[in-house]
Amino acid sequence: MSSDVTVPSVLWLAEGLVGLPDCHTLDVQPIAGASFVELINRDEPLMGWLAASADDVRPGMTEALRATGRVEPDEVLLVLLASHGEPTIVTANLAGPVAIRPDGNARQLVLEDPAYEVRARLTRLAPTTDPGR
Amino acid sequence: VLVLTRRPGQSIIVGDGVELFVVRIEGDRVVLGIDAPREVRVVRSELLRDLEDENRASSEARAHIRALISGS
Repeated sequence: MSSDVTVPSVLWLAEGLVGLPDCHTLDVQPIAGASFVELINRDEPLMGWLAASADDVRPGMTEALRATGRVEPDEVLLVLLASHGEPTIVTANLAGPVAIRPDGNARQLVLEDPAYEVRARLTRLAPTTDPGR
Repeated sequence: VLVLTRRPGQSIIVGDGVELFVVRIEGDRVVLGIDAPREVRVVRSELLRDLEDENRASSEARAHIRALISGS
């Protein structure tokens, strides 16, 4: 990933994802040539997500949420990507980032702050140092 | 569904330690204050629905985005 983020190879979500409470174990697979990772539902491999470092999409997001106590100091944040419309735009879900501890325990946050959109548009597919918002 | 009538400044208690206040009424909007323990999640219902929909949409879009990445 392009940000200085290390993600464990397996994530455990005790409460699942919002609306998907049975989605507990996600295998993390890097994607060659991209700054994203793939999260695959171990119990239902057809279900999976592409995810990016939250700070790649919204620089400083992790620190901002740490400052408010929403994110623990040792947690990193991923955001899930989606595509919409024709022509396709790719978006990142900033309102529901996944906070991940070094041991793989993870939880999906629900952020009420309107600064964190459900569909934040990405202007480039492989963000490096100047990601779109 | 329990329906209660409250005026600004009045409140109701929900469960243990959650208090919901009517702060003020502005036209067709009610401004609420919520006093709840930190571990109690308080969010607008439509936000939860949006996140649920987006989580599903994101999963369905995985292959499409991968194809876009491959082609970019």
